[in-house]
This record gives sequence, structure tokens and C-alpha cells, in this order.
Amino acid sequence: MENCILIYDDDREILAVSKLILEHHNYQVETRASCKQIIEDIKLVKPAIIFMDLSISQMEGEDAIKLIKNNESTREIPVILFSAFDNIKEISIRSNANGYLRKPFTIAEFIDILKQNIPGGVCFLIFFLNNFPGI
Amino acid sequence: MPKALKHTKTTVSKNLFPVIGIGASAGGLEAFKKFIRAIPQNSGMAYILVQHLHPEHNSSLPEILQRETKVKVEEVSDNVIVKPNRVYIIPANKLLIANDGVLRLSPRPKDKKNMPVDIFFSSLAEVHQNHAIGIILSGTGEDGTAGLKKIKDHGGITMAQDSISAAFDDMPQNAIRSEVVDFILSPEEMPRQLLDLEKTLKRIGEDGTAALGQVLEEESFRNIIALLRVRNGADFTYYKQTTVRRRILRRVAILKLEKIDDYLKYLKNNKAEQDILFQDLLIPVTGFFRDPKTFEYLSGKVFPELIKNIPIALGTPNPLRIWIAGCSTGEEAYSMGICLYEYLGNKTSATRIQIFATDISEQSIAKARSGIYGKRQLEGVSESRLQQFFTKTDGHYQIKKNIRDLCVFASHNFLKDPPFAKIDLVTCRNVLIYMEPFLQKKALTTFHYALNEKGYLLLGKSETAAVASDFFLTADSREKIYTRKSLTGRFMNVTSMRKEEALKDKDYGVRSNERKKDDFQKNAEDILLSKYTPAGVIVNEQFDIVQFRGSTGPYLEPSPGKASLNVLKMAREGLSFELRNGLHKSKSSGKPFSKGNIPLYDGKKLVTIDVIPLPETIDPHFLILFKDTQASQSQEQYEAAVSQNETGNKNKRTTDRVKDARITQLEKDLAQAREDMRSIAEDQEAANEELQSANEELLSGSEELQTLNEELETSKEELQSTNEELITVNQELYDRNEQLNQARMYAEGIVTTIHESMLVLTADFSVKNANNTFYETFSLTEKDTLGKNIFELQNNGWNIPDLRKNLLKLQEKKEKFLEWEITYKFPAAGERTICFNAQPIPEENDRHLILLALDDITPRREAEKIHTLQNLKQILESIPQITFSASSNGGFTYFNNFFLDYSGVPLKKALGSGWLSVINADQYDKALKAWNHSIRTLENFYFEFQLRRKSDGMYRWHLCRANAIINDEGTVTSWVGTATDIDEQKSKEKAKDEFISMASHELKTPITTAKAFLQLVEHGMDGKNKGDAIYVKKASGAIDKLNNLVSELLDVTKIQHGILGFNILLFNINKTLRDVIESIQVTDKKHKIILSGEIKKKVKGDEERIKQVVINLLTNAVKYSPGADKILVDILQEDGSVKVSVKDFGVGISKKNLNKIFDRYYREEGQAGYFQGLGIGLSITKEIISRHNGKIWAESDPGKGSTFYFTLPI
Repeated sequence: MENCILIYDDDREILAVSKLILEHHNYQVETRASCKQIIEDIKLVKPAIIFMDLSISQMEGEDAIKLIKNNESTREIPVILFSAFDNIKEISIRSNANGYLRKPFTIAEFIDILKQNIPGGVCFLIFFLNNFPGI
Repeated sequence: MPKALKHTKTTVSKNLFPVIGIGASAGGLEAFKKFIRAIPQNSGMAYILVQHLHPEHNSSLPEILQRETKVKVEEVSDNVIVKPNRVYIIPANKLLIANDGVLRLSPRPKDKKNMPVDIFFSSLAEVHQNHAIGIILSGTGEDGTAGLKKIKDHGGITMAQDSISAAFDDMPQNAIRSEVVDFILSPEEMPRQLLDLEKTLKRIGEDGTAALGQVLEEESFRNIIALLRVRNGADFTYYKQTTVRRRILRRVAILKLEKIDDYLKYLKNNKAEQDILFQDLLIPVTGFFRDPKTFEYLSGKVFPELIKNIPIALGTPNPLRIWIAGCSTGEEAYSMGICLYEYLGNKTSATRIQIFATDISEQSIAKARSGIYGKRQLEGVSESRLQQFFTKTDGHYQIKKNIRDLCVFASHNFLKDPPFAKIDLVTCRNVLIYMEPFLQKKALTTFHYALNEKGYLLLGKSETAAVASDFFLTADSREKIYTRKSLTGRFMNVTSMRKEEALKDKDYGVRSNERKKDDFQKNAEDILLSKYTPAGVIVNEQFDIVQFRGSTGPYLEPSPGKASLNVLKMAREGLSFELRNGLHKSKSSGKPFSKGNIPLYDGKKLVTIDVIPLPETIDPHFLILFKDTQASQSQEQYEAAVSQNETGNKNKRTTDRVKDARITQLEKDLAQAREDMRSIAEDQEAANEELQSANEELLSGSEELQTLNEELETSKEELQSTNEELITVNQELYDRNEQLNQARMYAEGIVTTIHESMLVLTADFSVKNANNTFYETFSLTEKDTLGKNIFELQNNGWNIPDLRKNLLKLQEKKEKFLEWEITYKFPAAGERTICFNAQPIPEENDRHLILLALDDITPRREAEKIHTLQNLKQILESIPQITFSASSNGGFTYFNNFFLDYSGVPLKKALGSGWLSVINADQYDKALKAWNHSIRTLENFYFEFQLRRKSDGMYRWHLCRANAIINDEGTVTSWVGTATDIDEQKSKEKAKDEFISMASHELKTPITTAKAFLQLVEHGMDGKNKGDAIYVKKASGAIDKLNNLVSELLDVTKIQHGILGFNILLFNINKTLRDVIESIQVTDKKHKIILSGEIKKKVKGDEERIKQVVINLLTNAVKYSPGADKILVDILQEDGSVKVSVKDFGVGISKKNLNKIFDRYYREEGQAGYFQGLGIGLSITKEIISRHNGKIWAESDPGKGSTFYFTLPI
């Protein structure tokens, strides 16, 4: 799925509102409430960017990021830490996340960070090339 | 010098003001004008100008000079009296001399060289002595030089005009060259100098003139005496002033006062001092059997006489009465008692004896009454007398009752109080010497009155009754014993000098001797005497008539000249010679003398004189009787016979004529002889008179000597009294010395006996003294120690820096130091622990000795050390924790069993590798680094690490602490440490942290959702439905606030738990401020937030937290300045810090609340309802800033705005 954004959060409300906001801005959004099958999810969804809450059931967000960053096939996908924790910045650095979004967020902040990490067409193209090597 | 003047007798003037003679010649007038112009009107001096004037010229000098000065100028007329503040001018053609304060003129001799200045100056010098001042002004010649010399010789002062101002300097220069000039001055300067001199003269007051100071002093002395008279009732006015003053001055000196006047003031207010001075003036010098020979004489000569007159029978009305006047402390009286007792022997009890002993001093009398004397006072008493008359009671001697009962003591002033009467013997020894003759006389009169007819008076060695020789006759001049002359005793209660004059009339007493007796026999005798006895007179030893008997007119007549009763002077012509002859013969032989046929009135009368010495008179007296013989008759017969012969017998005429011639010749011869004799007699008389006057001189000389003698005796007594005082002081000193000696022996005994080493150091720390223990302990000898500096002992082996420091401190503060211990390697004794105690011992001159006690506590300390170590080990073992110790270099020396059990590492391995095998490998390096840091810096070691537990292989958190053990010298002996298992705490802490984070997260999640939805709604509206949009916006704002509150609450919770985390990094604070301002500006459009300043350096800190601070300050600024339109933010780099300020123009904060605003939950009073908030924002802000080691404060002007500042270190 090109240009798709994958959001992990154990709060379904957050997932719903995030999906609404981003779709409102013409992004494709996939949400998950659990990190149980994260690598599988990523392989399936092939997101352009991942928003990861820090505390979600089954697995700590931080561990999940490590998992992503340690996996050869998922390493390149930008991961944005997405939390209400104060020390979010610290954790994002520690876990090699590509950025963070402090909860509660404004829509502007959300879009900004998205744009910083998947700047428009280029990203799209990469995704496209990646996903359709046959073209 | 003209002869006429040479013989003029000059009399010394009594004038006490300076008289200035001025000699001047050519050019002198001008100089003198200058001089008198400078004279002040009341200079108190007289000026006499002697100017060389032309003899014929009539001088108008006085008029000329009067124009120059206000001082009166007058020309000298003869016999003018010199007065101060006048100028006198010599008239022309006269010589001037001064005499007895009067100026005399005499004509100027024509032939002689004119030297009027010399002549005047000479007389001036003689007359005014040191009050004469001579001045030589301009002139030619050498007049004045000799005169100045004369003035100088008589103690006067001389001046001469200097050659610069003098028109003719011949005269002054001549004087200057002769070295007779004291001051060389210009005329204008002279008066000032004269005034100075006058002052000096007044002050010095030589020649018996009372200077002002002396007058004052005199006054003070008088006042002191007056004071004593009033307070003590004793009048010292007529006491010997020299003595009295010496005693007063002595008190002045003792009291360290400077002036008599001061003493007078002191005396006035000090009763005790009055008594002291009074006692001091009395000079109580006395002793038992003073002058033993006198007492021997009393026993030998006087007592027998006295006793003889007293019928010895019990209860006789006439006791033997003796008066000891001025008995002082009673010695004299008791001596007399003893003497009498010894003389009388067993008859004593049968004789009534009363010894009245009196003294003016109550104190002395009290002492005398007690009759108790010290050994020293009894020096004059022989051993046997001591045995017989004294009883010994505790070191003192008391006079026995039998002697004591003889004496009656009373306080009595014989000069003032009525005297005793019917006294047989008065002794008054060395009392009169303190008195002026006037008082002596008074005293002697008193004694005379007191004494019985045949009483005796005993005086002191150098006293005499000479001043009252009428009253007393010398019985023994050596022992100064006098008998009473039989005069009617008149008690002379003299209070003024006038009566003394009366006493001088020596005949008074004799006349009063006549007593009328109502006795017919006597009357008859009187008639017979007056009618039928020949005329006569009674003369005394000096041949002065004391009584006329019958009509003596024919024989005596008053002699011309001074009135005299001398019989020789009064005798009529022709009688004088025979009288003298007869008197002298009678006086020398003591037998009557008779001479008849003495021709009187040219032989018209023949007189027989009888000179009979009167028997049994005390003074020799002579009765002279004049008897007429029938001379006139025989003479006539003789003459008739001669005329008959002339007419009747012519034969015989020749023979007769021859005979007549012969007779005439003989008569002539006789007359001649008589005339010669008369002249011889007259010459003799004159010689006699001269002798008399010589005798008088001698007498007065003798009197002076007597006075001197008395003075000497007084001085002697004073010296004796001083000596006694000195002896007492000496005895005291001796006793003190003895005490001192004992104290010293005592101290020495202690010092030598005690076990501690003792040193006495001088101020420069050299050893003054040391005890044996010291020598033994430190293997020293006296020779190497005494006098050496303590630090230099044993080749500077004693140079202990701390000891030096302590001793210097002691030296400086004069404070002892106690129980100071040091372990030091001594050269001979080896390493010893010594406990020092030092104490300054004050000496004179503010110097101190130092007593230094050295207690060798080495054995005790060693024992203690072992004990301590054992104790420590026990403690370390018993603690349920890991304990260990390490040496000063960090090597482990001990681990307790607890550790060995926990880690399973054997002790030996643990001591070698330490924690290495036990500690979490990740933490080892850090721990080692911290440990080494502590070893190096001696900071306490504090570290948390995980140690592996052997039982389950788990790493458990431990808090490890170790402290250095530092000894007295400041060096580390070892380290002791513990490691406490804090694993449990750690995990709990972690759980708490997690909980807080979780809570934060959980709280914020719904907020996030709400906010996001609201934003969606907002976006979805796209400007439509404006009312709803506002609601959405408000809801959004509320959500933001809620979010902030949650954050703040969490922060506070974290602060409370001390877990507010910081992420310290270098950041650009300029940017931070800009970002924050921008974000605030987004929501607040009303205020313009202006940032000024920029700093170059980056700041180290938690950027997020600092942001939080700035946000807080800015939101506060916005919140509390609703009416303002701007907020100023400033950043400024200061010394080592960066200062950020946020200034608003709002409501401000009252001064009293300025400090409270940073307190948690505080909200500005009165605004709680108006402004919302929890009141924790600023407290969090403060916490953040202080955790950054910065400061935060606020300044405010209520109503105008506030400024908040914070600083961060860079």
C-alpha cells in the first residue's frame, strides 16, 4: 500500500481520530492496537511511516522500535515515537526512532512531522519503485 | 667716684618691682623714644633714664618724651620715691643715685670725668639687687660698663642696644665686649623682654620674696593645718613648720599627688587621710628607757629629793605625782613607773604614786592603756626588768599590773586643755622640738603652773627651758632637768601673740612676788624698814634694780638716754665706780662688801655703801644700802682749821704754804687720778657694753644653734620613725620572703616528685628549669638542656612544628593549652605520644614564663589503640552489612564475614582483587574511578553498584560508603566503609517511577483524543458556523489547560519524590527563548513580547525544562497584565552566568509577598478569585532553576508591573 501510514496505539480512540485526521489530509492509514505481529504487519502493510505509541499491550513500544530497526527489511521505514510520556525525546534518541510526537498533539504538528519524514512524491516514488520493482 | 657719694650708706630697697636704669648718650634720645613707645602702660616696672646732658643747657626732655608715651614721664626731683609704671628723667647737670627706693640728686662735680651712668647703676645695683635692670643705649665713650657689671654682680639683669639700631654703638659695644651684657636687643624689642623677665622674677621670687606659687602653696599648707585644727582639734600652726611641711609633703608623695593643693582637696573629703596625717604629724617616736642616763639621774638625784618631801605613810594626802606630757604609746610612763618602783623597792606600796601620762593622740593612748608591746619595742628593757615587770602573752609582752596601776592615761592636749596641778615631776621629752619657741614657752608656762614648789621638769636631750628661763632653773644641763623657779605660777592660756609680748617683761614675775600678809608684826617690820633702815636697792645679777627701798634720790638719778634701771648707770657721779667695784667683789666672793667715805657732790657728802648678796635666792640678788656719813661737818672743820692756820700762824705759813701747795698738788693729783679712773671706768663700761652686745650676739647665735639642734633632733626622730616603718616593712618582706621560700620549696618538691616531665620555659622558649623525670624520659642532662631553646634540644630533634605553633599561640594570647597530644619521634626516646599541658606564668614587665608539662602517654595510647582496633573489628563484624577497611592508599585490609558469606569470595582473594569479581562488570570501571578519586581527595566515597549474590547469582544494588579515618596530624590512617543492600528500595523506586509515568500517560491519552477530535471538528468547519467554531476553540483551550495541569501535577509529584528527571545537554538558549515566545505569541495576540539581547555561549541544562520555566514566566506575565500591551524579555551574559528577565506591566506583587510567590500552592492574595491556577507553576520553576544551580527572583512595583529574573551558570 503506497503512501500508507501505520499507527500503533492501544487506545482505539486515538487510532480512530488519528486515522480520521490523516485521511482528511489524504493519507492512507492503517492502525493496529497491538504489536504482537509487528513485523508481519509491516510486511503486509508496507507503510511509508510508522507511528508507535510507547506503551501498548503485549510489547513495549520501545522494544517494538528496536525490533523494526534490527530487521533488515524494515530498518529503513521511519518510525515516529508517539506518546504522552515526558521523556519521549530521550527514548526516541535511545531507540533510534526517527522522531517523536508528543501527545496531545495538534493537527499541524502531526502533519509537520509526517511531511518531514515522507516528503511527498519522492517518498511516493520510492515506495512505488520498492513495491513495484517490475515497472 | 666722688668722695661724697662713696660714703653714702645705701640701704637695700624693699621694692619688689623691677627698676630699670637706662644709660644713654649721643643718639640715645632717639633709641629711648623707640623704647618708651613700646612700653605698655601697666608694665609694673619703673624706668629711670640717665642721659648725658649738657650742664648749662636746660633740658626739656620730659616734655619731649611725654609725647611719645602714655606712661607718666617726670624729671627727677630730689628724694623722689620710685614708683612702678613711671619714667624718670635725670635733670641736667646733676648726678643721680638711688637709695632705698628713693632717687637722690647731687650736683655734678666739675673736674671729674662725667660718668653719671656708672654711678647711678652702681647705686641701683646695691639698692634693688636682683630687681635692678640696666640698659645701655646708643652713645660714645665707656660710661655704663662698670655700672652694668655691678648690676650683674648683684643678680640683676643687663641689656645693651645692638649695633645695627644704635646711632653710636661705642657705649653698648664697650659693655658687650666686657661681657657684662645679658641681652643684646633693639630698643623696640627691649620692653617685651623686660616683661618676660618681670614674670620670671615674680615666679622665682628670690630673696625671700614670696612668689605667687609659693604664696599659694603657703596658703595650702595653712589650709591643711586649719583643716586639722577643725577636724582633729589639734593646732599645728606653731609647730615647727619645716617638720610639719615635711610630713605633709611626705603624705603628698605617698599618695602620688603632684601639688599641695591636690592634697588639700583630697584631705578635705577623706576622713581617714585626716587621721593618717594627724598621726603622721605627731611622730610617735618613743621607747623604754630612752636615754638611760637620764633615768639614772632621776633615781640618783631627783627621786630622793621628791620623796624627801613626802611623808611616807599610807593614805597621805599628798601622793607623788608625775606628769608625763606627750607619753605617746606609754613607754615613757611605764619606764618612769619601773624606775620609781626600782628606786622605792619595798616602800613602793607605802607610797602613793600617780603617774599621769597624757598624749594628744587617742590612738597612742589606747595603745598605752593596753600596755602590750612587741619584742622589738622592748629593746631598751633589760632582761631582768623584762622578767620582773612584764608577762609574756602569745608573743607579746604585757606590763605587769603593779606598774600599770601606777599610771593613769588620758588624752590631753597640754597646749589647750587645763593642766594638772600639784605635780612633782613633769617630763616632756622630745615634744617641744616640734614647736616654735612661742609654743615652747606656752608649754613651759603650763608645766610651771602644774609643778609644785620644788618640782622638777625633765625635757628631751636637745630641748631647753631657755625660752622661759624665768620659770625654770637648770638643775642638770646634761640631762635637761630643771627645777621650778619660785614664781607665782600663772597658767598662760595663750592663744595669741600679744600675750607672748607680755611675757617678755621679765620683771613682771618678780614684782608679783610681793605678797601682802595680814600680820601686825609684819606691818611693824614694814614701818621700821621704811623709816629707819637706810635707803637701798635690790639688784639682780645684771645689776638692774628690782626694788627700791627708802629714798634713794640722793644716790641715784635716772641717767640720760635710754631708760635704764641699771644701778651703775643710775648712780650719781662718784658713786658708780665704787658701786661697780663693790658689786663685782661681792658677786665674785659672795660676801658682803662695805665701803665708807665716798665723796659725793664734790665731797659735800660722804656716803657709805654696803653691798650684801641676798641669801637663798634662786637667782643671785644683791642688796645695796646707802648710808650718809657726816662728811660735810668734818669738811667744814677742816676748812676752818685751814683758814685759822692761815691767819693765826704766820710762822707756819711757809710750811703751811708748802703744805698747802703740797695738798693742792695732791688734791690735783687725786682729782686727776679720779678723773683718769673715771675715764678708765667709762672705757671699761663701754668695753663692757660691747662685751654685752657681743654676748647678746653669742646668745642669739646660741639660740640659732639651739633651734638647729632642735631641728636636728626632730629630723632624727623623723628618721627614727621612718626607720621603724622601714624595719616593719623589712620584717614583712622577710616574712614574705620566708613564705616565698616555703612556697618555692613546696613547688620544687612537687615538681621533683611527680611522674610527669616538667619544663619551665622563658619567653623566648629557652629552658629555664626541668625536672628529673624529664631528663630520664628524654635521655637529657641538665647541661644540654638548661638555657637552650627547647626546639633546638638534641640537634633540633625537638623542632616539633605543632608544638611551636601552640607555644606561639600561648605566647600571644596568654592562654594555657591543655591535653594536647602529639605522637613524635624523639631523638633519644623514640616515637612517643606526649600529652602537653602548658600554662603561662606571669612575671613582671608583662613577661611570661611557660610551665610545660609533658605526660608520656605512649603506653596508654598503645594499649588504647589495640583496644580500639579490636573494638572496631567487633563492630564491623556485628553489623548486618558488608563492611570493609582499606589502607590510606586504597588497598583493602579487611572485609567482614558478612561480605565473604554474601559473595562467596575467600578473604585472601577479596583483599587482593577487592570488588572485582563481585561487582557488576558494567559498573566496575566507574566504581574504581570514584574510589580512586576519594583516595586522592579524601572525599567520602559514595557509590551505588550491583554486587553478585553467591546464593542465587543475582546482582543486587548496594549503596557503598567509605570514610577516611584521619588522625590528629591530619593524615589518613585508614578507610572504613560499608555496603548496604538497597536492591529492594531500588526496585520500589523504579516501580514508583513507572507508576507516575503510567499515570501521566493514562491521563494524557484521553486528552489527546479529545483534543484531536476537537481539531477535526474545527478543521471540518472551514469557517462555517462561526458560533460553533468559538465553542470548539474554547473547548480546545480547556483541553490545553487540562493538559498543562496534568503536567504540572506530575512534575510536583516528581519533585516531591525527588525524581524530577533532567536531561542535561548544551543548548542554544537564544533559540529556546525565541521558540517559546513564538509559541506564546500564537495564542496571545494581545501582548507584544519583545526579546532583547543575545548570548554567544551555549547553556548547559535541560532545554525542555528551561522552556517550561520561560513558558511559565511568560504565561504568568500575560495572565497578570491584562491591561498591558507588551512584555519585555531580556537575556544578558554576566560573570559566569546568563541572566534572563521577563518584565510585565501588570498588577505587580506587594513587597511582603515577593518572597512567598515561589512557595508551593501560593497564590497572590486577593487575586485568587480573579486569576486561575493551582499556584504550583512558580514553585516548579524555582525547583528547575535551583536544580540547574541557578537563581530565580522577582522585583515588583505594585500597580506598575513585575520583573522575574533567573540565572543559569555557563
